Amino acid sequence: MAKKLTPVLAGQEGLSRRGFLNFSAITGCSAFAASKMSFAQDLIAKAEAGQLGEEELYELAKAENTLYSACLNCNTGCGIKVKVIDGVAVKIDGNPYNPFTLNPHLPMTESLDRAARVDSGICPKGQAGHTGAYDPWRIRKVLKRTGKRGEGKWQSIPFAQAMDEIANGGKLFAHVPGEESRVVTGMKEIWSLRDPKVFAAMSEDVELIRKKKLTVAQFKTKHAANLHHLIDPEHPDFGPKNNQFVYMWGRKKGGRAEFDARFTGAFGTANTHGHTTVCQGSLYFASKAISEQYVGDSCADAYPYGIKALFSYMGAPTYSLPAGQTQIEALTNLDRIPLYFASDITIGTTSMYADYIIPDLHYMERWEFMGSHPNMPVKVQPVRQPVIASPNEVVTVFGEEQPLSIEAVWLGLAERLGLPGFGKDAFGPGQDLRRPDDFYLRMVANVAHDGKESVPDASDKDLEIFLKGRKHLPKSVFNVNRWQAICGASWKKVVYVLNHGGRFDTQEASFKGDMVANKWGKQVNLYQEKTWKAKDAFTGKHFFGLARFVPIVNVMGEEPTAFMKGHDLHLVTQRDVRMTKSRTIANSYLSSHMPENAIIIHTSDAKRLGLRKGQKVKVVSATNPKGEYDLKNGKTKAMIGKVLPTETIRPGIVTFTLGHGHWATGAADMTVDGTVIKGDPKRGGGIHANAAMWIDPYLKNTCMIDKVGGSVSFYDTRVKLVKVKA
Amino acid sequence: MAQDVLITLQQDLERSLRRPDKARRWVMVIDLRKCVGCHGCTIACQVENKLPPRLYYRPVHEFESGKYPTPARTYLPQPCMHCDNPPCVAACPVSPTPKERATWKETEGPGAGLVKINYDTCIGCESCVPACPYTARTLDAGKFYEATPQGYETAASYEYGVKRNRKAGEAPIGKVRKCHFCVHRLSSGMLPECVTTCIGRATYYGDANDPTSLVAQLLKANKTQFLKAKKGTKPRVYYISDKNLEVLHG
Repeated sequence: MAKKLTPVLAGQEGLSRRGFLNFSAITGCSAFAASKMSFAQDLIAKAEAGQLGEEELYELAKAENTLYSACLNCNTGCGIKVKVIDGVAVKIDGNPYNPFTLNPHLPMTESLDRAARVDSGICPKGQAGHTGAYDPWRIRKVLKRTGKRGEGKWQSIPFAQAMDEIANGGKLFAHVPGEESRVVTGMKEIWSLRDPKVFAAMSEDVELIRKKKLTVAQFKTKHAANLHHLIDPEHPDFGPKNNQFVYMWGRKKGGRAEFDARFTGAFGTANTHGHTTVCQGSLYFASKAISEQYVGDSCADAYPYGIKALFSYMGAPTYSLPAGQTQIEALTNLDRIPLYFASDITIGTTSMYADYIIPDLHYMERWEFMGSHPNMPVKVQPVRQPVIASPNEVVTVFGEEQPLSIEAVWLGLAERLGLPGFGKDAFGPGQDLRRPDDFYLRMVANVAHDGKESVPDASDKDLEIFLKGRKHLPKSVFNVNRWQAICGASWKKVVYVLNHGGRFDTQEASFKGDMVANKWGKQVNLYQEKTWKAKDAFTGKHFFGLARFVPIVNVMGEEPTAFMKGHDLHLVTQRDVRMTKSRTIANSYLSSHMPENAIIIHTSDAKRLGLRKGQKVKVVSATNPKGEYDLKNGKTKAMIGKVLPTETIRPGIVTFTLGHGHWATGAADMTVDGTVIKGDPKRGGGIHANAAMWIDPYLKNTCMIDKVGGSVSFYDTRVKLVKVKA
Repeated sequence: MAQDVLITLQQDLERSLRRPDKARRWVMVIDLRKCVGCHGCTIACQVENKLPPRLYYRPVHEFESGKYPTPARTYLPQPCMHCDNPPCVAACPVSPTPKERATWKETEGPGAGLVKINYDTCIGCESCVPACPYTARTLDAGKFYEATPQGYETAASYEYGVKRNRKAGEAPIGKVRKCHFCVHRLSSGMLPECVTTCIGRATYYGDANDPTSLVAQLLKANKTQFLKAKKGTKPRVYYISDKNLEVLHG
């Protein structure tokens, strides 16, 4: 196609960008006299002059109804403009100031009125994103379990009560049969070692022990007064009891990452574990192997030490990970994980096992600072900001009203613990941290002032658009006086950044001739000596220092030939652009368009196995011969899907797209405050077959892994398909 | 540096809107070689026009051809063809007089040349539905996505320049609906929603009578196809494809 189109596009190059930007110049060139103006021409002229009457104007084209932010229906985080009418997000399109959706993008100097009328390209998930905010399955109040973990019985409790209980501990679940006398350790007690000087001194000496310059006995003598803060004085390297608070997350972006780290840093736990390492560890940071996979499993094994409390945020490891059912086993173990509280926006496939679920904000309602991607040559910092009010209960933390969120959890706990760096004068005299905007508006100001030159001030007109566009936001989210006070002299620059959905360099500045202007600028090591020097803890052999294909092996380095026997199909997973995440099932436009996924195999395999299109089959493997998720609440979720034969897959391979086959997130019955809320079968459509993925035969409670990169194995399991009677 | 196709198309649109209504010939050109099958246009259209579940103005059909290891998948977005010889208009039993007509070929305003529906005069008899060889028309049976319709479902649509909140017993529920090339957006100098959201930039829109417009240049430079050309409907939607669409689709 390039051959035919190139001359056409080359012709277009003659139209300079300047010509477009200076739109009035085009108007001036119009060959038509006013008397010959058609109806439409008149409309356009009036639209440009801002003279359209209410009846004529398409409200979604108005700058004051257009709020700029960043998507989060996948990790790309495209720039979006959210069109808000009467406080409701009614339409989303691409943000033309953001180069992820328009190439080249509009410069930030382009007027807001003009940009409101330029929609740029986003995918169906981005288009449907706002429906997740209005998902009827969202939780709005704190839930505390009234039954066993995973049983689906809840009561709503005040936020303050939840924070008190999590902070203080005690017999928190005496109302649950079997847990009458179980005492839960609270966060106050877990926050054992509080003196930073002692913390530093002990850390230094642990290093000396590692280097064999100090014995454990010497350590114990030296730190005798503080040994009670340690998990195990015989193993000072386990660190202080503070490490028994574990925080794990799924998808966390800039801003929230800093907020969370402020808490976990002040608290002094080393156990903060993210998702990306598991999914793409080998891809991104080979050998930096820490993951939630190990979190759940090592918690369950109490290896190297037991934990007291687990907090999870925006992740569904029970669903998303290979052999995720092993995570369910870990999360339901009260001895190994005595306290589990979760931040989620629904009762999800993982948070359903929590003791407490604290509602979080949808990405239309919160702050974040999306990162960029290696394929983006332009220097960008997209900003996600609240564009609609949250349905969550408004609670008071540090005397400030705010909708329930993960920030409210950190603040609420910090308030009760008296954690340094939060509350009054947290950033310095007169600079408090009592609510999310205290933190994030300062980050926006940093973005505004970044680099050689700060962004310009927002004009009076742009400030007016900014304020009109936020009329619908409650004071607990947006208050112009408060925001202005937080930003101080930077206020109009903050408005400038927020009015554009972030800060974006120009296309011109992103290239120098044919070369990119923003270069990687660092050495790329094809051979990694550090990796080669490291030894595999299970086999004692060196890792490879060069990239190479390593067939799947268990932790002892053996090929799983016994697992393959009798299982004729090679299971891999993939994505459909309409779904792709555990959370996308909550988007009505998407789940209605794609109510279920399929078991996709080559036509020759279908023929060989005697399978027709639409026929139901169960996916079984050597480590999951029953072909089901054991939900550990008396229920199972069978891995049954409909066959879709195709020529577009290699023979011998079987696959399904991720995003369907849920057993919670609206798919299951739940009892809240004594009322049964029936699950919606539509939320459980299709199949999710990660539980078929191999479990390591030695570790027994985790999937198989790539030991160098820390990735889990999504693409190695052999399965067979078993016909299911209709 | 070349500008984004979307900007070129919007410049073309603004220029065309300054031309006399009757001088304009709105067309859509869909380059199937560029369509990635994301269904973004389908969903964007749903949201833009507040369409109920399973009622699509612009479905994207998928066709598989060839054998492994050289199979092919072709995606076919299918909006209303805005035929110059529209069988749906002929099938409508409502009086064709300008005041009473329910569906017609528009001759005035920014939507001149498009096939329109008036929700206030449509009687919902569905005579036009089977008349369309492209199954572009569907009765709005009044369904909502959620048991309690959410704000984003009952929010206003601006179809044909009329602001309406979709609720039981009121138009457009009980009326026949179809793609209108977002004439309400054209009136604001904006491209149809399916065009702007296309991540593959596979859909082009503009005035074929303006020789400087991108669509005119595309039609000149490429071999184009119609769907069901033999029906004599004279569609305004042109396809560019390396597949024979008559074989693929009919």
